Amino acid sequence: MATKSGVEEVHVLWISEGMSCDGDTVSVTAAEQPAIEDVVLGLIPGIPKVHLHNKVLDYSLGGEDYLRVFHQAARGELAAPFVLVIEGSIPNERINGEGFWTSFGNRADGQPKPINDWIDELAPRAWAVVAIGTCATYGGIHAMAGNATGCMGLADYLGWDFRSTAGIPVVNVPGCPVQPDNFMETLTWLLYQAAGLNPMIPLDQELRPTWLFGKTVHEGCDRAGYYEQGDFALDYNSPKCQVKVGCWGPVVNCNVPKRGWMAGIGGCPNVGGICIGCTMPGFPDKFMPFMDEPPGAALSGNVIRTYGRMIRALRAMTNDTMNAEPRWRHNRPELTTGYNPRWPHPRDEPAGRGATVAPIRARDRASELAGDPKFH
Amino acid sequence: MKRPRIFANLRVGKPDTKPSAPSHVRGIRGGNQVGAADQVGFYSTGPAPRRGVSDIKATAARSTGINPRARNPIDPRSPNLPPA
Amino acid sequence: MRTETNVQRNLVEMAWDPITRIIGNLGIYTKIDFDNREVVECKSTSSLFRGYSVFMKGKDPRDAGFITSRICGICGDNHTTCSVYAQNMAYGIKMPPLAECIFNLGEAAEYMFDHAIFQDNLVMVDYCERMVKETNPGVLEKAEHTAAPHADVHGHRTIADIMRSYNPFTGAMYREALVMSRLTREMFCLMEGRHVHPSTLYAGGTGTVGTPQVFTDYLSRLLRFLDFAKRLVPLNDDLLDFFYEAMPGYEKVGDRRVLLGCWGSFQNPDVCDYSYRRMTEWGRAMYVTPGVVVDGKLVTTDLVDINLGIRILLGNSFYDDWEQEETFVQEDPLGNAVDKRHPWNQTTIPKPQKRDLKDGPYSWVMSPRWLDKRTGDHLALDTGGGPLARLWVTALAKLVDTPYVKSTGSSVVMSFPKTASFPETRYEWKIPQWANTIERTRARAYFIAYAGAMAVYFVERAMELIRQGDVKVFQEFDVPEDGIGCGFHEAVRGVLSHHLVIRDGKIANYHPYPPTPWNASPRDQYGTPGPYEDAVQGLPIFEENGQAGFKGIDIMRTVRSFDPCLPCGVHMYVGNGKVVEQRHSPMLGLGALGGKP
Repeated sequence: MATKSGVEEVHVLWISEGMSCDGDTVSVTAAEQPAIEDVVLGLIPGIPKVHLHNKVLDYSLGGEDYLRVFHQAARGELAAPFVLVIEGSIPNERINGEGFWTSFGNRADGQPKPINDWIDELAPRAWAVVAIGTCATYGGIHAMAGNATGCMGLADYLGWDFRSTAGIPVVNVPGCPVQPDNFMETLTWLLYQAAGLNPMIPLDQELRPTWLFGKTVHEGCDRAGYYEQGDFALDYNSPKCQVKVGCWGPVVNCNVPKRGWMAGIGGCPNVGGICIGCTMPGFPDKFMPFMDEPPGAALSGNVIRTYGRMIRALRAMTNDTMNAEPRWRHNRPELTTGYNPRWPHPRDEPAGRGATVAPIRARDRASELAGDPKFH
Repeated sequence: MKRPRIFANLRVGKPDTKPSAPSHVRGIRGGNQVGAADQVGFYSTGPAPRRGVSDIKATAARSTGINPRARNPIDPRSPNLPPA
Repeated sequence: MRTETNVQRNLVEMAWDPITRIIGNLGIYTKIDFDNREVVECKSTSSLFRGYSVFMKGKDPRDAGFITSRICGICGDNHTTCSVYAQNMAYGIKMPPLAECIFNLGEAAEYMFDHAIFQDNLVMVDYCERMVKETNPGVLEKAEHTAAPHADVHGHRTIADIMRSYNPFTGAMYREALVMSRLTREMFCLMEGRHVHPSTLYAGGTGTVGTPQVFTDYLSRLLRFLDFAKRLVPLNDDLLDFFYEAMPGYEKVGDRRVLLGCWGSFQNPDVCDYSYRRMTEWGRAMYVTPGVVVDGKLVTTDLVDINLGIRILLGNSFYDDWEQEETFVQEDPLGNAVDKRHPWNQTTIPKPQKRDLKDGPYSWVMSPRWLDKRTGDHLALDTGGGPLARLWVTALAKLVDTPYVKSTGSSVVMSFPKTASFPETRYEWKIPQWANTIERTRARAYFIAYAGAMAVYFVERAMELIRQGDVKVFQEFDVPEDGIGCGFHEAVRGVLSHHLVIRDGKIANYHPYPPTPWNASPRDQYGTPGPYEDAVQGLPIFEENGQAGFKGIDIMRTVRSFDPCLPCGVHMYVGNGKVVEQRHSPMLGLGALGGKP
């Protein structure tokens, strides 16, 4: 049901020949919400017909057969608009003489054609440009201090003010690798947008989709409750909050602990893996060495210790109470539930609230504990 | 101890509680309370929204307490959709 | 010995760059003699440099596992695991038994996932109905009339039905394999947190919390997968055997001298303490035996021998030599001399330059070789894509003996518990006659079964510990000021080693050697071609298309049989075949093409 403004067909040109490990392509084959085959087979109502061109999943044997559509796109000869997906860091090809760092196919002279040349030709014609994974978004692991290639993220290369033919900035979906469903959801948004059904994709100032990266790891972590109680893991055996053993979750924008890695399973700090900030522009250098306590955590961790100890004591009491059943659940030959078939009950009124609500009152706790065999 | 009473064949002893014990007490905060929509991260678009649309929209602060302003969409044409 | 005969050959240059359905950037450049239906020359190139060994210098050694995972986007966890092994040695620690079980279960899930998605979604497209129709219509016609011997197990009546089930995106096996690749990745995530770069692995152990729940979650998925694996093995056998039958001589496709290396996988927690001094012993206790097979004979199963024999040659790659650079490790902890060309002593100096496919440098992959002490040869070992070498070494070594996997000296027997559609089942992989394209591909299906069977064993081991209340999964340690370590493991597609040197508490040198440099290496300084090159050179062509519509399917099947994974170390480019030269070419005898000058 595309509106007039929308298109019927879209090519997805996916080049993983940046300085990558192809881990984002592999990761996306794990997506189920939606699955890549659902998109290719047109099983999502409302999206345009998708022609996927990805080296790993392509039918062709490779070479010119595979490259044809890329050449057509570069010459502006594709009949339908295309989304350009770039995977891997973009090297600096201005420092290495006649050599190259990474290439995709060959130039007319038979020398390898650097990825940078492809980007120069394709990006200005693309309906949208998506950087998948932290290498393509911000440079990532290969842009670490001491590297020889001078590599960077796609927006560093194209310019942060770059706009595609549809007026969209580079769309960044970081993650090392990308969380599978995060990417597929972003792609689906863009496909709906191409169909004229979605408005402009909401991106934050680091060009990430807001609904995926708009909170911190810690804000979604199921171990954050330990932090609040000032109760920390001191090595990796412990299932408690890991900020003292290297977790950067409190300051990292990512939804993985909340979403899980796939099908809700796995993740990072939620399953015992410290957050190393792999979605962030500052990754990896600003988070290294990974296994040391982040400097900020020493301060906030100590402050919360006193508060946490007190809160733990209070919660321990309430928790004991809540762990005891109300006293009217018994097998004595009489009913003590307060049963009365008529309401309101005149005798009830003046007593006021809670007079006989034994189970939730602290002063009854002791007697209940004494009387209940469960607590011995 | 009071002798058990019989209500239509049911043997009723001294009640341990009363049926209305778990009901609301005035003064305690309720999640449904009017005015709560003014919390951080939400705003009203004014009195005349389109039919079939509510008047409440969200900002990034709905979902994060860390640098929320930097998490708002940069393009005014985009809807503001912070995470769950 | 070689013979030379001058014959008139019309050579057509054909190239495939990039090669699809593999991981990474690989190009294959060939010269083909269409009149005699033979590939005469092959060069494989990788057009990607990232420089892990360069930028890891000076970093914290504990970060090595996190960083090296990013080398590979399909088996990154193999790197993390190998790095943890190397670090454990350098730090002088042993991991708790439950941690070893968790590592083994994670890695078993990785083998099941990766082999299944590669085999059924990437490799089998080369054998699918749509492809065979385009390249060998005569073979497809025959397949339509050939009954599948194991139809009762897998449900496909004819061989052509099996081929149809592998048509991309529409075929039933293709789609089921995608679903299975997710199920196995869920198993992986239960153990290692995230796929493909794990979050919960550390030197010293893991952060995965051992509970009855996590192992039950794993086991229930494993049993569903085994039900699939029980169909997969006979289905692969039927399809692959048919290729031998339909095209007599097909065993020569991708056939190569048996030069297989396997560095071992799945540590035995009862034996492994990561000390170099005891490495021979704990290496032999691994549940996939490390070893080297030359011409069908097991040369060694000793990790110390394996370690000391590794040589990194430059040959035709874009690097400067390190002869004049520092030697980091003169001798190993046992007092054996360590060669200058050993990874411990390598200094990586990238030298970008023009690609010269004629006789200059043409690849970013170096040439790892293994020095055969007996002969002094620098052997271009291959991994057979991983499974072929693992099964071959394990079968010959007769060291693995568990209730689910047993080595017999000439085969490997795998036993599976009852699953939803099948009773208890046994499969036996027997050492094949050839190390060729079909056998590399077949071994992969069997190794999926191997990993599944071992996983059942590791779940049992883990549950024994849990029942005793043993929940320790991490061993604390101090990082020494100076130290060395090496880790040996099997990445999904074959041998993996990490060599580490620590100085002043920092990484002074770090060299990972994954399988692909072994398999995809270019000609070395002695002129010995890398295994892809070697396997493709001399390859007979069975494709029915002539030069005009030539697709190169037999070449592609051969290259993919090695499971290329080029971030670890390579693109095929189908140019329109043009006759590049007509020349009097010396036609050389066996193995001499590109041999010693």
